[in-house]
Amino acid sequence: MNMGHGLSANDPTVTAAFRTALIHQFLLIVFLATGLAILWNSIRTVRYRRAVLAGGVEEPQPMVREYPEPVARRMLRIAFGIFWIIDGLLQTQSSMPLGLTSGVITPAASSSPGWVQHLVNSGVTIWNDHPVSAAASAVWIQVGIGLFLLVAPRGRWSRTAGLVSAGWGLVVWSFGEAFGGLLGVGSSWLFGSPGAALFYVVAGGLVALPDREWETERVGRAVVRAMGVFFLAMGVLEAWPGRGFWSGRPGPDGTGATLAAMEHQMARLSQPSVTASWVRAFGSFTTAHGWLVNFVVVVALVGIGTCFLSARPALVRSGVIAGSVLCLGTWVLVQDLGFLGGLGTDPNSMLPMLVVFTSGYFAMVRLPVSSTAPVTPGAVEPGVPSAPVGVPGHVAPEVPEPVDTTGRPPAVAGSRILGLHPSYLVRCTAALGAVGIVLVGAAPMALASVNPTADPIVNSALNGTPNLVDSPAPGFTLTNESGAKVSLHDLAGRTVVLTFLDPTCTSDCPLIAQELRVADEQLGADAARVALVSIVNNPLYTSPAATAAFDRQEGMGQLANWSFLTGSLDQLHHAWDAYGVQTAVSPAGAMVAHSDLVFLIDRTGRLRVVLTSDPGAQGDAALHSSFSSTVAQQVRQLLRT
Amino acid sequence: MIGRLRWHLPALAGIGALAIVLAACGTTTPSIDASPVPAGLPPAQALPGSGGTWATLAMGRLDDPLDTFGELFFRSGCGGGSSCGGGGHEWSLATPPGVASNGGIMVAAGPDGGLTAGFGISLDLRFSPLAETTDAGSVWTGGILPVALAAVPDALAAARGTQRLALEAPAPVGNGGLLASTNDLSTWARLAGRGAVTSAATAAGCALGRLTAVAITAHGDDLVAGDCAGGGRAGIFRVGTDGRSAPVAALGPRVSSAVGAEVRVVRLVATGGVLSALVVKGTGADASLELATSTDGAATWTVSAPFAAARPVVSTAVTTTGGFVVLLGGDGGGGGRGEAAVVAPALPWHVLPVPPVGTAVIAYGADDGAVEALVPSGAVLDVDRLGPAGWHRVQELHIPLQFGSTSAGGGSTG
Repeated sequence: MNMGHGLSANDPTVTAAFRTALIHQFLLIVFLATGLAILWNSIRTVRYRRAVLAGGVEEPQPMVREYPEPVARRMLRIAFGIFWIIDGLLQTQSSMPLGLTSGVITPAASSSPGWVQHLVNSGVTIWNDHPVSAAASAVWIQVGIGLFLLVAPRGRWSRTAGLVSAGWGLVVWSFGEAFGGLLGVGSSWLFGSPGAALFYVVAGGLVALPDREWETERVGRAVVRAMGVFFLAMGVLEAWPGRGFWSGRPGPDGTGATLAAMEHQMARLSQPSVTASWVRAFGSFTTAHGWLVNFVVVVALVGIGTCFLSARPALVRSGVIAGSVLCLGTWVLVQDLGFLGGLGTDPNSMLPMLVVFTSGYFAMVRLPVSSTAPVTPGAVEPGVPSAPVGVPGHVAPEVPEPVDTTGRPPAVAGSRILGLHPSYLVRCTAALGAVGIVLVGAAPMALASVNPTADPIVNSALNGTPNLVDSPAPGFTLTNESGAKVSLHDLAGRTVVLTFLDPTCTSDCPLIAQELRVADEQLGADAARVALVSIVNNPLYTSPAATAAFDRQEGMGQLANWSFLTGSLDQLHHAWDAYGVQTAVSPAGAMVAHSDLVFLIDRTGRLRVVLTSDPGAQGDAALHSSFSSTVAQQVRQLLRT
Repeated sequence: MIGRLRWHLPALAGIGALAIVLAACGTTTPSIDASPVPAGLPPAQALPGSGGTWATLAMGRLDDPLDTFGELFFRSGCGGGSSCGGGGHEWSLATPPGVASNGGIMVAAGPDGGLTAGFGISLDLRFSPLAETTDAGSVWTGGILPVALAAVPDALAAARGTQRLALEAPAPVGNGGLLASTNDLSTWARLAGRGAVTSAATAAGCALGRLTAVAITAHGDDLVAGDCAGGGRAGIFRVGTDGRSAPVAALGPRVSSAVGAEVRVVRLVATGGVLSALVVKGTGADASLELATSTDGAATWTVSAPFAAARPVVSTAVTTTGGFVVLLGGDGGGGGRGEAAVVAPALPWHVLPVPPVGTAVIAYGADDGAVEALVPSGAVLDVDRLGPAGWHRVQELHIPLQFGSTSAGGGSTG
């Protein structure tokens, strides 16, 4: 007797399918990259030939941006580009398809208000229904965004990369992080509140700002002040009485000791022993000196927040230094480097936060950018405006000829691309490639989100692949709910989905009936050529009253093609034996144990497919939906033959 | 400086507001969708049958609904008052097979020696399979009640022949009506809805609460009982079958002098020619138990003296004369070291020695009058008999509980 089922996060079937999907998509990306390389080379060749025809080939002059990218922006762009790539690579962990929702997303939302859980559940449902394509999509979307940020330093391409980064960050923050647990009970800055993805959103938004916004220290001041407000708010939240942060040990009623409990919980996650020992040691310290730890954290947060809020360079610099120390210390001692504990999906909140406030500081003080090479005519990237004269940090370009600062195409449309500077052309091609990678991930994700039919892979993982056979289906003549005789012969010309259910069963049989009902819906018009048939699989409750009660309970009577057949014990035993269905009556209030099998019989009366229909865990909606998809898929194949 | 201060004031106000909002959000109790109302298990009970004594109680891991099983036990009689040997007067497992009993078992003994058992709903099962035996549980005949049976000890009633009565579970699981069967255990007709009973109760000055019991008198009248507030009467009603005027009539006895007092009918049982109602009047520390009996089909009643019952009723057992053995909770919970008392028609309440810890029900031997405490613990049932020196262990049964068999996938051999 099988005793309950649950898919392991490392289920080999799903893991193998995930690996295969990644390889297929990687090959697609290689194909895309090859195409872009050919395109790039073709353009170069055409340019070369034109140049030859025009009388000679000139060495391309190095391209110099008229207005170099500010350090703060470059820092944000490169750092978050790298973060996205790391996140994408972390998404390739084999347990991600089945483990992300149960191990990361659902726990993150568990203490949040109902509406947050409802929102998160909508995303979880999509992921669980399509775990392989969703997990593979997440890999390529994040790697693609990272590359997009890295290869597009300026202009519209770069700002688009920022927008994409912010958009996907918002998706991750809301659906994946439940708003960083900000609305949950016991959320704390130390443990990642308000969520790493929120800083990705902020960074993406800053990168997407028009270039002119970076020309003054306004952006920097705004970022630093916003971080000041944020740190102060986090400090107040950390100090708020009644949230359990001031005590290292639980009170008489078992409450309190929130920090220490969280740290010990973090230490118990699977991770390298070194980080586990650090976190455990700090947890023990917090248990012993809970008040002191929280006091230091509160004072530090408030102090840093105040420095940032002042927006005075010297104070902000002090805040940046103190904030960096606090963030790095927390990252190591509390957050176990973010991704080493459990199923890590990112380096957690501390590093992105550090990058944001540091870049804010740099944007405010506007450190000069060195740039010395001359500019080349036509080399200005589209959308890059001229820098105003006299702006500090601006390196005046040497302009031998008038520059098209609008980015508008030359008079001859076809020659616009051919007129681009070679290095800019390389970056355009690379940006196109990065966008292609994002699309390789986004397209399956978009399809999955609008497809309510679950992927059959989940069912295959639990019940194995359908067993294909080809033999005459054993006949039967039994009685339906209305008392009419029904035989397999009567069903000739229709594809029969045959199963064996116990009408008084409390768990599996109602689930299997609902799965067949959903499969019937998925078949649409084809359902008219299909008969859903169940035979009673309980030797003690065989009356038509029992099958009718089951039909009423499950709403199966509404299906025109459904029959629940019964008969004498001899007739039933004959059918059970003929199909190899086992039935065992157990004592002491246990329900009848029986095989969970579904047989597909083609319209000529031949048995073609045998499916194990164990519905798995009671609440595993994805698994149930996946079984329905498998049945519908197999029936369609039989209808086509 | 003033300008800077102006800028800072809204910022600081914003910080405060943000922190308050976050703190308020962070301390909000998460609102999680409530799961469907779990089918509560019926209280344990024991009752006499023609060949012995029956008892139902819950066993297994009582903190896990899927590993809690309602079990039915039978204690055979020896017949004719002869001495029992070779295993007589011993309890044995008699749970009807074929259905998961996680929702508990309700039973009714018929006057012709049969026992009708109904399964409480559990997990995805939303109607109640039934089973009937006439040979002390050796052979069971299945039946189907098309609705969910109420989880109360007297949800079923059986009369001579094929007349059966069933009390449907209240909303939201069911409609709380009465169903009758006069043919077989799978053919049921709705006898009366809750609305009809409520109307009759209102006319009698009773604000009807939940319906708690059904019974069939020796005259064949169908009765239903419920909790009543106001009027000081026990909420016992006869349900007519003529379908004409006043099909439901209030018959309950007056048990409380205080108008407005709440009267709850814990049990309503027809034993031989005696109709017995065990009622609780009042609430909390002022609650008391009374036994009301009638030998003329509920036309006239005799009400016992009250017995203080500040503790909740944990379980009840019916005696052969229409009395009850009542187990009251120890510290407010069930199954603790509680208080037990026995009452019989025309006799005063008699307090029993404090029963063993964990007692689920105290059964009254059908033919020998033995008083035995059934004490379940996991998969073991201990039986302690009351003797002159107090309670002493007479039997220990090991029950082959199938833990994990009810979880989804558990019923599969495939």
